[in-house]
Amino acid sequence: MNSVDDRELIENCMNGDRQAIEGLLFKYEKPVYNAAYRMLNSSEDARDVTQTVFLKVIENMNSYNPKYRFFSWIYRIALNESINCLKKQNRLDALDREPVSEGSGPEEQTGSEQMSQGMQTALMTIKAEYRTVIVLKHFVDCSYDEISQILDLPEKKVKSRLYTGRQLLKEALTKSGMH
Amino acid sequence: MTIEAKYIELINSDLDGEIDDAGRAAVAAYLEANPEARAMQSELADLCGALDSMAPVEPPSHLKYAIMETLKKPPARHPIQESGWRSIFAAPMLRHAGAFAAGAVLTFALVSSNQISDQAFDDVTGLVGTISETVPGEFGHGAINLTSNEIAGTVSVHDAGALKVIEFNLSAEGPVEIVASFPSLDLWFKGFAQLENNNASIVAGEGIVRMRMQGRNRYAMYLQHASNTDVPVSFKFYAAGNLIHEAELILSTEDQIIE
Repeated sequence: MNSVDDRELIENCMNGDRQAIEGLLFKYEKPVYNAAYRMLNSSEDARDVTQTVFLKVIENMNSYNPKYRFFSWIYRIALNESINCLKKQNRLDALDREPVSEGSGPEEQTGSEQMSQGMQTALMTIKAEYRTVIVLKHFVDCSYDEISQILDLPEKKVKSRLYTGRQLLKEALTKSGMH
Repeated sequence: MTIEAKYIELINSDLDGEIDDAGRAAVAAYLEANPEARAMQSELADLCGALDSMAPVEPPSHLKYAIMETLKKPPARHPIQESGWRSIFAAPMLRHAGAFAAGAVLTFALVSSNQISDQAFDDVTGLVGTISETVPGEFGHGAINLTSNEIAGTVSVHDAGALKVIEFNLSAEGPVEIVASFPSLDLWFKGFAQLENNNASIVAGEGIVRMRMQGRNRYAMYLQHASNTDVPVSFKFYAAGNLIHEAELILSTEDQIIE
């Protein structure tokens, strides 16, 4: 995560440079989408969240404090938006909505696709606060220090959430017969 | 034998590559002496390996485009003091005449005489914006907005007098076919231009035009409107042979020059 490049991109974005906005999008679209997808297990919701994230980033660019690293700001928005989306889903689930699930049927999946889908399903069973750190660690490739900045949590808390999250994930996989 | 909390933390840190040499040595010694810790470490390593091996998910190909479109702010509507030759065309009649003349030249350059074309024409980027203006949405049908998973963007009508310019500003995840049909004999195909990218193809016949595209494309189809009645053009969008969207645009005569 190169913060020097980000600073230049952001300065140019603030000056209304469309190419800089495209540069930002090019750099962060995929990781933001992936983080949202792993949080939500829905490509449609991940798409909406990604769109909202970039809108918020551009709209609030002037309030961005360059003292902090840009990636921690954009991922924080992405995770908050994902959690908001989950809250909305939970409200809808309470109204008898079908649980969110994606992907082809087991008969059409390869072994690794099944494993991946099984892992994603297990991920969805653990609380969002644990899922968040697992997503940042394993899908966005953040260090403890970066996760701590993104979530504004002490590093010790990040570690403990990560260990607990992994434990819960292991239990969920065992329960589903995948581990 | 239980596993001490301190070592649970160290084992996790080791797996995450966030441990110093002393910590790594301590973990190795602990694992050597504690089979339960070894089993836990092995299970955790499998879990982390499985998580890390999950392939990244590709965002829909048109997402970037959709985001950039959303980020576009509506242009400021300030009265502009025009000067020179541009102001000559500011008068409505002359503007339309100019647009029509430009359209006629463009059409001549672009259309084969039998009105059938299946290949891209020269890039005329920006020409649509130069020669025409958007029809103000007769019956609210001035533009089609597409936001499906398969295709996103807009299809809009620009008016150049009797020449109607249908602009396609689209991004498609996979191959998409667009069928435009216009049963009226007062309307016929006059040309096609690629405005961005060069990979849309078109086949035009009497009352029907078929376009194929994939990825990000901006292109324009030109229709000649020879009467003073409103004419509907229906659009069907197909992905993998399935109809994914259907809409209609009304080509209005409101701004048409009748000589």
